[in-house]
Amino acid sequence: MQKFGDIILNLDRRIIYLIVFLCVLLPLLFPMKIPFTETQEVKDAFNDIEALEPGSVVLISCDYGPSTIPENYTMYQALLHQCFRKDIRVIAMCLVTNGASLGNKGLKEAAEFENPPGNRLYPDLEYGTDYAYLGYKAGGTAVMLGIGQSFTSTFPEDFESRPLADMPLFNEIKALGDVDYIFDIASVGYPEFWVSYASERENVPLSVNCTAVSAAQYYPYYQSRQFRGLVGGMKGTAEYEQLVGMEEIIGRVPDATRGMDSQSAVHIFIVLAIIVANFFYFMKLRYDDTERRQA
Amino acid sequence: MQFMKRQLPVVIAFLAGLLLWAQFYIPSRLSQQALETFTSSWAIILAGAALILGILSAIQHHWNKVRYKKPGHAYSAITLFCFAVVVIVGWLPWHYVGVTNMGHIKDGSVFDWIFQNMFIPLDATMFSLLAFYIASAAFRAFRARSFEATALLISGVIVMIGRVPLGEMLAFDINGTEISFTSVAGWILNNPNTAAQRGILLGVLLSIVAISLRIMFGIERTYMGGGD
Repeated sequence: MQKFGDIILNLDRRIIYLIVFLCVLLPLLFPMKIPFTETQEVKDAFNDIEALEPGSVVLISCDYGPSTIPENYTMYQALLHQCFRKDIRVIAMCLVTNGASLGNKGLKEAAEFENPPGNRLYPDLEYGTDYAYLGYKAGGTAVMLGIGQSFTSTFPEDFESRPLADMPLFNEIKALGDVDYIFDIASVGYPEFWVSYASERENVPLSVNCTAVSAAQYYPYYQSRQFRGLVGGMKGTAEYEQLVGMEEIIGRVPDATRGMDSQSAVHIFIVLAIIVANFFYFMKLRYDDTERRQA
Repeated sequence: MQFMKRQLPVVIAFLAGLLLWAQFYIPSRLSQQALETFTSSWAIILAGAALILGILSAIQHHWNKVRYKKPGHAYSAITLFCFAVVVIVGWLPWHYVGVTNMGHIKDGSVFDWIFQNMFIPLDATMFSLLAFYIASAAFRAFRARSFEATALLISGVIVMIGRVPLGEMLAFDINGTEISFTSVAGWILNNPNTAAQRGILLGVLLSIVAISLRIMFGIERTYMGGGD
């Protein structure tokens, strides 16, 4: 037993890596489709967007980079489909250098989405009228304050160098105060700044999608209703996808939902690993103690 | 010269701090707009300058490593090479030399190709490796050695199971009430976690107020460099 314990406690890390790899891979190849229900934090964000009138404007800030695509980009897609399906207009922008292209790609992907028979899902959408992508601007909080004054002076041109002043959307929506809802999709610490420098100042409701790692720190903002909704990590995104009905929209299991089985398997493995390691650790302590007493 | 180096920065810091602080107590849209215009322009200029400073500092650091053949200089050489390639591809006005669809960072440009096909996979790979390291570290180091460590371990385990769909299935009937890992994880996040986060947040904010006052009154001068 003691020898076995030593083997377990000194297990080659490559074996652990291999098990984690299999825990990720196998559920992707053989999905279990474990059902799940939506948490209140996610429902709140979803219901707020659902309650908006057609023609309302949602500002989406894509404050994430490629490393968090499974958590944030998938949420961006679900949110865009929800907005476009309800004829809600979208202004997207980006406050992180490595996320600018992702914001543009995601918006195009959703706006020009073709369902499996090859028909455009939103054929009436027009760039500059129903949606626009402003791209990246350095400054973070200064940009938030800037759009509080004027979109066109803070972003004279969009991501592809088209003047904002020529777009019908910005003839009506001059500044952040004219927007109906803000949704920050973030992998970095911008959500709290959106509260201080945008949402509270301009009296525009705000919801947040963040990584699972940072979700815990945002609960005080959610409880105080400074965040109307909180979509945390890939699980939160999967719940949002379920609420939007992404599987019916895109004709396949959406990415965050597909990742839930792998995430379940990896989490269970890590929990089992902690329990097993602790069991043998205490066995070893007990054995060492007995040996010391006998000596 | 001493005035420019020592006194002037403190005067600027004091005035800028006072201006931002006072604005919060002037309930006028005009005051808010004036401040926002001022701060947003200046902050964007400063962010741009900081970016240039950061780039120059990084180049200098890696160039010195390559020049003096310090340990890991090969990685620095690769960093400098990649930096040069991306900057050239992103900056060169390709459309002036007759090459279409390559200008700047638009869709389909070379820069975009590098971003989509090199940067995204590399960045995603780096982040996903965390799962492997976390699993290995949890197995090796997460021990219930003390009361605090045990509390952390138990709550960590509950939240980990509760934040995946499987946690909903693992439910127990206690006195007619169904309690799942998900509901317990939700309680932990909404109550002890939120209480602790509020405490941390208040502590951080009070510290920011204290350090801001120290900077405004010239007690804290480390931002000027040279210690004290």
